[in-house]
Amino acid sequence: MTYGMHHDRSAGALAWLVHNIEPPEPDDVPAVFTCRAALINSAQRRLDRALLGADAESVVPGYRGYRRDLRGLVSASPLLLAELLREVPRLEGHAIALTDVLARQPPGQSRQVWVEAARHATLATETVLSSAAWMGRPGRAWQIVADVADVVEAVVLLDSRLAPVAASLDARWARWCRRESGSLRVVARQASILARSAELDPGTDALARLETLRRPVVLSRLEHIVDGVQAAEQIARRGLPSVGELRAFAIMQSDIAAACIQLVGAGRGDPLRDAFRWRERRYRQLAASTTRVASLSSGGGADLLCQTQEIGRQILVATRSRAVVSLGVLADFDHHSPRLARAVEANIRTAFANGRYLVADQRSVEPRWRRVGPGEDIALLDSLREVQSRPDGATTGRTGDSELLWAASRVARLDRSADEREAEKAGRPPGVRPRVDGDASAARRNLRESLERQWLPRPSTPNRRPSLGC
Amino acid sequence: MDLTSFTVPTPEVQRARSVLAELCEIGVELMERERHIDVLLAFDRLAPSAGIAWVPPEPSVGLSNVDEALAAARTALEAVLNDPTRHQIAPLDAAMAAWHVDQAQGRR
Repeated sequence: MTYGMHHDRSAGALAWLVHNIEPPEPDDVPAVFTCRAALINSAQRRLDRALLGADAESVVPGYRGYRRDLRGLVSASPLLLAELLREVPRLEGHAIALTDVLARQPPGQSRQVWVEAARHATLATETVLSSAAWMGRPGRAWQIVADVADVVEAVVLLDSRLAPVAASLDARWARWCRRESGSLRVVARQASILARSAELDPGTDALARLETLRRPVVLSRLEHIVDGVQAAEQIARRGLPSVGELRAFAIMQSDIAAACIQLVGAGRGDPLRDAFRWRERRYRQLAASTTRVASLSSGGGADLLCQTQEIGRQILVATRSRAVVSLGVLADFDHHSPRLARAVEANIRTAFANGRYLVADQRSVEPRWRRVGPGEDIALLDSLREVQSRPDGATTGRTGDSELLWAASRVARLDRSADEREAEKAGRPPGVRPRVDGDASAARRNLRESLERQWLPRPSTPNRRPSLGC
Repeated sequence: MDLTSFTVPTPEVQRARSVLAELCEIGVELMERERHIDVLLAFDRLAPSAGIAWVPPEPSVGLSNVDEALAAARTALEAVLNDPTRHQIAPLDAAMAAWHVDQAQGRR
């Protein structure tokens, strides 16, 4: 059997389990835990192989000097998924040998399906590991990433029914389930969306285009998310996203805004919290307005999704670590976000005008698509405009308290870059600031401090927030 | 692909898509965030297999009761899952759509 056949058998069995989800019988628990561990192990090995094994050099002219794999081309969710998979508890102490489980004919139907899922997932992984036929085709590697992400999401759903049994056996599992499993499901879903987009993207087989145009940038700190937004803005001006990609983009942005509300925390930055709350709702509205729209494009939004996920990853990491984040950073992010929506809107508007996007024909008895006439109002475009607006109705710029927050963040950014330049000249590490009175930098610092005193009260204790989940 | 290359999904899938599409649209006002996201993700899962494009969902009928609409979507998905071979949709996607609908039902 081929890889695809094994994966289809395993996915079919998982679908049955998700549909007929029941807590396992006590006698079945060791075998079920064994199968679950086999599914996770095989997913982890397969994902590692897909990320490291695809020889992207073979399709990237001009990169003869060194090998590139998918890991070098993407960031965000597939890498984060691989990282999170390593932390999933396997419950080894309560499982038995996989070969014993596979060798016996299990009595119950549910147990039989678990065994079917584990057997074919393991065989699918072995097929990937032992075959090199797909390695010169990054598109195939993306398919493997998508398959793994689906398996992981299904396992997380099944975990909800194992929880009562597993939590009583293993305290670590209960802790993981409470704090991390939600994040794993979100990341798996995003990885699946990204992988399906990249798989369909013709650019995957012609990666050279990435070398001349703006590529997604990897962000190393939360303070760099504005750089991510600016990169996403440029990326959004090229490559028309499919409707599915646009919906995924909107849902991700809604998730990011919801996480930002958590980061703002209780008792600080009310105007900023209102702004994120507004954006969270508007992006959900945008996702909803895609349900009666179709695109004739196969999908060119993979890079946009990748960059959005990179921004989301930084925010996810901050929420998971329960960090206290400067409101100035979040205000700066909030200030720049509408520009990204404007870039997306311009692209989609052109697509409607060119007939690449269609809407449901409400005048027809039979459901069918139609092209959009010049100047016609479309709910999707209205939603995209709404995303750019503010709670107070202004469409550009900022007003009142939010303006001061943004000004504070700008000063902080100016201060930081000046400090980095000074540090470079003086040969000291950035962040180690000599005491200088009476200079322009000190004036900016004073302004920032007075603004922060007025608008950004520091909590006396670090905020404790739940991790991002869903 | 042109305007004539869209196919009609099976009645069960179309019923589930239509109800979920309308729930997506009214959900911002009528549902809590988590519940609405579940509905959006359920709709998102009901995409056809590669190479097939479907006609739009049925026009809105003016749903007023979210719980009843979710139950109708669940019933339609149940029928899909009882015979997943004829619906041009991956069984795992249909199962996850049903799971999201269950979650949305449980969040009332």
